[in-house]
Amino acid sequence: MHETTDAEPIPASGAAMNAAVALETASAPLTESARPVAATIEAFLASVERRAWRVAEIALRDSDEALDAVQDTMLRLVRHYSAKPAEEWSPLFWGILRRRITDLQRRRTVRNRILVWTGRATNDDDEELPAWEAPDLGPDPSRALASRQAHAAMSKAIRALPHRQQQAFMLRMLEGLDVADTAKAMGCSAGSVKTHLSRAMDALRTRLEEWR
Amino acid sequence: MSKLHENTVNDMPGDDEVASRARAIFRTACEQADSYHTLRLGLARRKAVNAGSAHRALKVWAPLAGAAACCALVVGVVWLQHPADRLQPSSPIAAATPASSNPGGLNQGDADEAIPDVASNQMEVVQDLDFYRWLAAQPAMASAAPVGSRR
Repeated sequence: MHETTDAEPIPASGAAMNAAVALETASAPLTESARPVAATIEAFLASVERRAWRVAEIALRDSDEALDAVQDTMLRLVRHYSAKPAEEWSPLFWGILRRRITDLQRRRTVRNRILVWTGRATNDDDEELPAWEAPDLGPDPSRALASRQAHAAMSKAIRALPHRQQQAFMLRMLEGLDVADTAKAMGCSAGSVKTHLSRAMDALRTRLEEWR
Repeated sequence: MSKLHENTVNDMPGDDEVASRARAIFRTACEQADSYHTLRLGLARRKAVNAGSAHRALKVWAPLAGAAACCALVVGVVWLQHPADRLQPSSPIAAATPASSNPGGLNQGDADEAIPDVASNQMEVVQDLDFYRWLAAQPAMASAAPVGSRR
């Protein structure tokens, strides 16, 4: 198991990150309500797979485990809920992914306890970077680097939040689900979503000052 | 609670600078996913869709296969619970006993009464098959014996 580079506390350059996100910020945010409803389950999965993988990666700090979680989520959605109306796929998908992430986090906690007990525990944050990284084929490597640094800083800030606040922030802010769908995906009430999100925003507002 | 905070929770998340920048960074990260993970995500999606098709086919055929298995089980149980019915035509005794060896005129009702006893001791019957063959041949010898005794 290797850690992603996002787990590393990379000091981000404010100017570079501002340049990296300037164009993205200027464009209109693509929320869930603004996205067209997918006609087929495959089209829906194709539209959501990268965001799901990134969300799982932020929560799990491991790109391979994140891939496994997304694949399991896809399988369960297709097997059990493909007959549901297309409008329900999104909250169902994110709900399944949330539970899968929670399962993996619990499993990792148990594994770490056993490793601590047997004296073979390692600190994930201190692991070395992966030996192989995908080649950077982008036209502007400095901008891509700045984007990765910004993503690493944001991921680190999100991971510092309590679990439910993380979920509320990622589903509501990053994925763009509305309050009702977020509540459905999280298995709680809309009021709880607002409370979790409010606290998450309070925490992030101070933690993300460096890249604001 | 500040006005900015209220907007973040109740209105579109784009109203808040932190949320919009977080979204922008997240979207950029999604678009810049490396080819290896993009390829694996595509493979995972196709695998899920194919597995879903197989699962749907299984959902159609599984009840039919289950019903067929239940029918076979019931037939098997009925078959095992009535061994006399299947012994009657192919019983070792019935096969070994020639029709001419029933000179005493054993009628069909007597045969029905005799077969369950034979079936209950089927293994012994098979083991003593030679004896029963000899016994079946006895009436002819018995009928010949009085003739010889008169001489």
